[in-house]
Amino acid sequence: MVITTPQSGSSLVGLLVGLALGLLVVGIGVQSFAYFAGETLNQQVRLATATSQRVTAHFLSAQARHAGGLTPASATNLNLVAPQPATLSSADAGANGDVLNVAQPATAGLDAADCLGRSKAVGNQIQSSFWVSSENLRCRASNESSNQPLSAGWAQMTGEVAMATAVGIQWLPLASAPKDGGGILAYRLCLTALDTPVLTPPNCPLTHRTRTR
Amino acid sequence: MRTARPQAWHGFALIDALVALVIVGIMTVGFSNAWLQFQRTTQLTQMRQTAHALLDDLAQNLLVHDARFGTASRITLTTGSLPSGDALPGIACRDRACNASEFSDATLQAWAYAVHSALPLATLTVTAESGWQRWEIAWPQNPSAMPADGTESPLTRVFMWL
Repeated sequence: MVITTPQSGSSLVGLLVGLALGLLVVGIGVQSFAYFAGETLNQQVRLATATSQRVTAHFLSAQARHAGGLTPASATNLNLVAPQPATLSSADAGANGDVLNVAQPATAGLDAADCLGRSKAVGNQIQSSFWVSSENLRCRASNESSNQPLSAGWAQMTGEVAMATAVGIQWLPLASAPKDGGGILAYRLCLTALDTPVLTPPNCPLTHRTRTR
Repeated sequence: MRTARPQAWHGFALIDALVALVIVGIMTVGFSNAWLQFQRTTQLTQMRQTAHALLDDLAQNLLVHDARFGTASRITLTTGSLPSGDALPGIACRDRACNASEFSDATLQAWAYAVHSALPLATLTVTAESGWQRWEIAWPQNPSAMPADGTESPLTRVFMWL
């Protein structure tokens, strides 16, 4: 005669099922966490890029608006000078697009500063050159031998000037602008980010445009 | 005498299941509404930013017009009907210089196209008053309520004086 005693607790099958369910739940949790962590990281990268681009566009706009101080352009007072390729030294990589040379009169006082935030004048002017190369917006003050990357994530920079003519207004490439700044009504810069298609005005993304007088 | 033994019941009672369903349903509806509201607010903020950027871009071109042709010319040539914006504008004022009329036309066409591309349901108006112009971009707050059944959605308006 066999006497069976009542059993209590979990059976082996129950334990295995419980373990499997537990692993499944933990696996889903880990996957979810990894997904959201990745998304958060991507979002942070995008936010950092957008912030960098916005700050850069604002910086360029401010530099251009300060060009020439408060005095109007004239043949003897260079405000925002059109590209002078010679201003790029051999140490500067080739520009992808146009080169923007900004000149401010030293008499503008505290408002006049080069792209490095200093007020070192050369020939009564404080000059800075801006261009895009190696996916960076770079600048070089005219009294410096090397350039300074300002922000990353740029494909190219192009520019146009609105010229006052005898019969009206004509948009010209930046390279065609007169170096004395005479007759220039406005500037339009198009900074193209790496993650956007390369567009030319007037289809340049609005957020990457800046214009000044 | 034999008596019936009470039978033990296991599992959820029907009433418990219904209560749980109602609670879950209320939570789902509440969460969905909150999420929808959040998305609408975010979208409205983005559309407002876009509209302001479009107005700012227009202002730059109008100031160029002022610098060359004068404010009176700008007000005369740009007040009135605006282009629809559904046609891609040509590249104007590049091969040759534009006069005041051509420049204002090019400005308005390019701007209308930009607005149409970014805010397809927007309507544009410009009015002149005491030497100033009021430029306005307006679009329906709820485009799904647009059918002409008397439930037209109120408009969101962004404007500038120049």
